[in-house]
Amino acid sequence: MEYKDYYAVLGIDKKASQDEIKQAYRRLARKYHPDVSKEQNAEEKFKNLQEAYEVLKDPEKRNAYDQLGSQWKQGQEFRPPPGWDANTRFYTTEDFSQSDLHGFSDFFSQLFGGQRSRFRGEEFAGFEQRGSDQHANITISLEEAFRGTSRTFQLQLPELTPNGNMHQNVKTIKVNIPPGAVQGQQLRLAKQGSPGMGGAPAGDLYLAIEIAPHPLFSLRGRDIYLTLPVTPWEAALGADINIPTLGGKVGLKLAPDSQAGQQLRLKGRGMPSKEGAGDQYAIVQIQTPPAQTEEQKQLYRQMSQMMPYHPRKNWL
Amino acid sequence: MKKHEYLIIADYSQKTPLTFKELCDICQISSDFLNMLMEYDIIHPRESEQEEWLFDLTELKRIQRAMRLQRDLEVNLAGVAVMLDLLEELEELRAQIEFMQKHYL
Repeated sequence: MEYKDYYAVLGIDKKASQDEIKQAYRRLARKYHPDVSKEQNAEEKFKNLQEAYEVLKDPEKRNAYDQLGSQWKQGQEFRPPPGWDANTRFYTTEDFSQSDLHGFSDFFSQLFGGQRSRFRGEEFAGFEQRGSDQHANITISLEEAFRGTSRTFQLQLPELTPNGNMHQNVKTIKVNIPPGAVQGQQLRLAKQGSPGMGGAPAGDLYLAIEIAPHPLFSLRGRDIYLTLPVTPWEAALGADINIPTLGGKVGLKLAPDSQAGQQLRLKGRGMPSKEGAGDQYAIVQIQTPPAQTEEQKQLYRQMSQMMPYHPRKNWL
Repeated sequence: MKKHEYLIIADYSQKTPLTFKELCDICQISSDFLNMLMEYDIIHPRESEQEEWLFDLTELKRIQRAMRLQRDLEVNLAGVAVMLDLLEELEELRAQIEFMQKHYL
């Protein structure tokens, strides 16, 4: 297993006071907390931070950690010194529930008795602990969300057998997703998470829908948005345009004198739902054809003479 | 060692709101604490005619987020309530920016 340099994680000196440790933790927790952070790998960084703090904030654990010596480097192959027995010395981690300890390193578990060493044998006889919840994401396309789809997949879940061994349990799950799924929509499969201990109930399995970004459409609530590029003459004179929707092409009448940014509604062409389908909106975008030939330039000049128009008339 | 379990069939059209007690069990919190979260306007039961409170799954996410913020950042519940609202607003604004960039630029 790899040695963890907890001081480096907190960015502090080995001689730092308990107050300095707390301060460093608070500062970094604010930066990397997965609920508020936009940093890359915030979750992983925060887990490391929690683990480092869990050891260093407790003078007893810190002392034990320091006794490993200072010759170790972050990531170096590490073996606990002979005679080290985490189970008899340190194993209290009351601040964190078992599910929090889940992501702590082997290094931590070995030295300070994380879940592995705690779960052995009859240690937990009479000890009740609800199984941890498991989460999985199902990514589907917008078209699939619109039409409805189903997915069959396997999940490998770590499970604890009654005699205390860990093993991988493969669950095959078939999920039916009816038309009109929304981003982030969750499904709870009660008691399909990790089993509980000591007769406590199993945790739950949560399946969240992730709708992949679409090159043309955007989904907001139940409404679908699409950019509708038009030429200046289409915008000025009006046009009949075939608009792609998730349910196929639909004819749309662009009114004369349309302006950029206008939203044209196609009622009921959004995502289906029991409460009534959403709408689709086409957002008008006027593209200016480049004047490349002399003739084309002449045409633009003619326009400027024949239809004087002052887009900046509101400027002072 | 691997063990195969029976096929689980699930359907998203099943609506699975949670009862007050289920929420307490899942989050491993006391009913007092859950009541407090409601008093602080952090979570809301569904509107329904039924006597029993029912909560959407999104409320569960809010509770879990609230608990993490409270524990990891030492925020009190009044602060948690503000943070959750602001975070939600932030997410909405980010989505809006993405939307504007896609369709208006």
